[in-house]
Amino acid sequence: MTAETANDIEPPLLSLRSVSVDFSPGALARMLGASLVKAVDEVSFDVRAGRTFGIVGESGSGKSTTVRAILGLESISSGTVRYNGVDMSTLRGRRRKIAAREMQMVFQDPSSALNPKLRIRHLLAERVKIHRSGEYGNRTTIVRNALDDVGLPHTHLDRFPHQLSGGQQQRVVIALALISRPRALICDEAVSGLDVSSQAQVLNLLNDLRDDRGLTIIFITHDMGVARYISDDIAVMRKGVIVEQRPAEEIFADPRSDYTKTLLTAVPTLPRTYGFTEV
Amino acid sequence: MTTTHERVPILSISDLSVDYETDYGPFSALRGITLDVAPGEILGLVGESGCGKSTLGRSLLRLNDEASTRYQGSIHLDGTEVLSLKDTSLPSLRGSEIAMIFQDPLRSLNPVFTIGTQLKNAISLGGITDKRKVHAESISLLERVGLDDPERRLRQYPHQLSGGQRQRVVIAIALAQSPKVLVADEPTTALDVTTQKQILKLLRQLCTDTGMALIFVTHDLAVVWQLCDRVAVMYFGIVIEHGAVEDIFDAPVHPYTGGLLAAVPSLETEKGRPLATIERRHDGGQGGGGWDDDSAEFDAVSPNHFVRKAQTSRVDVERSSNDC
Repeated sequence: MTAETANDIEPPLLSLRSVSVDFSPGALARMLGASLVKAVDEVSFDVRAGRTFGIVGESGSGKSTTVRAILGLESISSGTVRYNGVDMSTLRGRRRKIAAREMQMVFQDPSSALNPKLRIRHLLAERVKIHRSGEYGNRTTIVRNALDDVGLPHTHLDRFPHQLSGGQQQRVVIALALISRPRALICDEAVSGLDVSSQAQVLNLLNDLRDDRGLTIIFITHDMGVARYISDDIAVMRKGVIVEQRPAEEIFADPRSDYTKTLLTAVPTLPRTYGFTEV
Repeated sequence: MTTTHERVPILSISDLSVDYETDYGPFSALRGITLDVAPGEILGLVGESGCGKSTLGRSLLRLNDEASTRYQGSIHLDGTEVLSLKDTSLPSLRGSEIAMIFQDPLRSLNPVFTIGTQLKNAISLGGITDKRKVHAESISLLERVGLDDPERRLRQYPHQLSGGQRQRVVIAIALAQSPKVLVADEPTTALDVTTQKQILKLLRQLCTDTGMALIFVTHDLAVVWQLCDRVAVMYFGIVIEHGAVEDIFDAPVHPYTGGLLAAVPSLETEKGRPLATIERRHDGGQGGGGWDDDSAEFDAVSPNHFVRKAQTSRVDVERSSNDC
């Protein structure tokens, strides 16, 4: 393990250096003249602990591939991913498992992330068995605490996933992730399939988790309004390349790249901000 | 924008109720819907999933499964009562009088036929038989929806086009018989923002140019504000507030409308502040959130702004983040 030349006193929780992911065409496609697709091209960024890092971009920009590469779900063609200062590719066995447990993923569609045949109680208990097997005797308490953390009532324990609304399902998914005691939560379009009011619940919850427990969040979205609301830092991706990467406030106040400007002007906006007082 | 005084609606829905027969008994999907739309006008139907906005859109074309659906009330389209039409006359209604486009353009297009085959098929259904005329018409339709190089597009298959181009083709097919009303069910939800902007511009232009009325079903309030002339906010199968977009977005009266607006994280939302959330009393919408009366009585806030009477306490707009 070599020491990273860090500018900050505290090293970043996650650090990507020139990470590329190539999708090479199969033999037949090569014969037909298909060439290598650089899904992620030399991407570098740091995610500091206790902050929310937003990745925005349109479909096909490589934002999902980037986080899948972080988790090892895609193989990296070149570059390094460091978690807690350690190169992820050198991790083996128990240490790899710990890293996997500490970075939990939340996907877009909660109904396909939850086993439809299990009650919420069993879904959550199963996760205790996998990631905290030593405490399996305490599973009732752990499960109840997890539901409290995401603001769902205990009466939901005996329900099946289909009996919950989309927002409630997504909160169950987050409860599952929390049982694993993660340091980072990676959310891939986690609110895109939800109604605005459910979306608001999940966004509020993620903000609380970051503020109260110092959870690090990587948040992928195509919605600029959501990205601005939740992120501390933002990377704008296009065709596998990060075109702009700065603190959220700066990007929205003064976008530098033309692509960011195009994206921002395309976002449909409301005539004004609506608050509670007007309701 | 058109004012109410000179509006002559092309489509009037009055006191429409739709019930689905389910395994658990009848489910009331829509109750007491009264709305109208004038030529060239864009009406937005907005609400959360399960509020019945898509059911309403489909009902206008009688696309619901007739075996398990009961309609009450009336849908009047340019002198025709849609609900009393026989099954055999439905094909002449769909396409030529009223057409519909859906969220996912790929699923609306047949993957094994070229764009040309599908578009020409729609045109010849309208009664044009001469091959050369059909071809000329298909070229002009593709030009109207803003597709470049129409000759080449006609020979291409759906998978060779991008999402935005596919949606343009779907719109071209819908326009083939010059319908008086177009129902668009979340047509831009699956598209990127930059593509969405282009499609919205196209739809607006088509309405202005041809006088076609557009019913735009969406969950995105910002899109409604950008595109629509009038809006109806739906909740559990009823319309709770409707009227001119300016009036409603300027001063939403119903707490649910206000809650929806405050739940959207816009580019100006203060960052630290929690967003408004709305808890539903009944999950899944069964039981309809507690509106017991089926009467569709509205208070007129202004000549262009109507809000449903009383019973407002049934919706909880919460100030805190995640209480239940």
